[in-house]
Amino acid sequence: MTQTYTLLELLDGCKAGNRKMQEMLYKQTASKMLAVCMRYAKDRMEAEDSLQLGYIKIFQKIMEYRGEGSFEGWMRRIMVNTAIESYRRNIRAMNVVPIDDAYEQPATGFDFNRLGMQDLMKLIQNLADGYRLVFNMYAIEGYSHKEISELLGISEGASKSQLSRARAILKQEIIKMEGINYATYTG
Amino acid sequence: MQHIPDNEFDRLFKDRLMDAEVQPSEALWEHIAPQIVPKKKKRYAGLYWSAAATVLIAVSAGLLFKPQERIALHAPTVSTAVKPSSEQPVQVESQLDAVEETMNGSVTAATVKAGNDQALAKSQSEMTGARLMATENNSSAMQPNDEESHHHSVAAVQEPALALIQTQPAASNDAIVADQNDVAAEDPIASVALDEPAERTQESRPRIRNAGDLVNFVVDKIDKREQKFLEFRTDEDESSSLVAINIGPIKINQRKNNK
Repeated sequence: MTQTYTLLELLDGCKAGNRKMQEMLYKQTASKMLAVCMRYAKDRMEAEDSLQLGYIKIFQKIMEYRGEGSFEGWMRRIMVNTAIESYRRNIRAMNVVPIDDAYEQPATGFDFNRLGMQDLMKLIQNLADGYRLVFNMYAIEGYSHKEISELLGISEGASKSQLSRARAILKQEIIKMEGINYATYTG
Repeated sequence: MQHIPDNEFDRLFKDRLMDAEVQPSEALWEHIAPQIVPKKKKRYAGLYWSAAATVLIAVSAGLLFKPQERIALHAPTVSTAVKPSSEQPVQVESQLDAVEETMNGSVTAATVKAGNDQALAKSQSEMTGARLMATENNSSAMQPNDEESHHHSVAAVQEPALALIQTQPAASNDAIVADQNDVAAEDPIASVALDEPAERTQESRPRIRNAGDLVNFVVDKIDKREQKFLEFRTDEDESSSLVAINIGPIKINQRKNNK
């Protein structure tokens, strides 16, 4: 069993440029940070690339962390910003799903309790890039539409419409999954 | 559940995903670690430059001094030994000091050997023979572990020197000087044979901790003078600085100035 340090101890060690403490910080926080990156990425490979870039930034900017807000929250924000930057750099056109598809209302209800963390992760990853970013930022990170519009360089209206489309697609997909589950249970 | 409010729908995702953990691949840290910029980058760059510069100087100076050494190695001929050139009195004197030191140490060892076969040290033809032996033994003495051959070579080299002094007992002051010059002329062979193994054992002790130490070590191999053409002062804390340069017209010695 390796020794565990508090985040504050690790923070001080990293500020001093201690290589061992840098590694310990990574080892203790990487799984949480990768979960953040996974939500913003299409797949695991893209998520790990993003995680790598995020940690390099964390160690470069660690002197700038002044103790305002939790250290973990600060690290999460860097991960999210890294994901946003790579999205904007790629300038992948927001794959607009035909409106008919997006707004098709689910025919049946769904049982959320059957869905595990990995199922929800998969659902989010399958969203088109623009939808995925907006949904993550609004629903999970808690950004306002104003903040999202500034960070992504889109209008507030676009942010709102993309969020509602994202929700609609997610609901649709959940019902599909329920149907498959139902089929496997009965068949 | 079809009409679940948006904020509740969002919350279901948030609750399950906010504190989620996904284990990254094993090797990922190995990719991150080398990309973290080291703090003291400037210092490393300077160190590499100074190391590169000193190696360049060491090599060029080594080439400069090479011809001189070669002449010295072939110097011991009888004619030059008996009639020492008066043109270089300063150089001869400085060499004498060094030779006398090596003589004092080794003469006692040599006389024990020489006492057993004094007949060897009588004629000049035998002397050249001994010198040949000496050079042969010299090459074998290069291997530091071979201590026996080292002793042989010491004895062999010193025998002709003794012979000269013994065969001319009634010589004047000038003659004695000539004798010593003869020995001085043999200095390169004698000193190489004597010094080489001893140096090996001594030099293995000081550790090479930094670029300065390394340069000192290499320079010491090339330049046998007391004032090296290049010398570094090395400290315990891994830093080194140039203290002495001695390349013909250019002579700098910080240590001297400090005294």
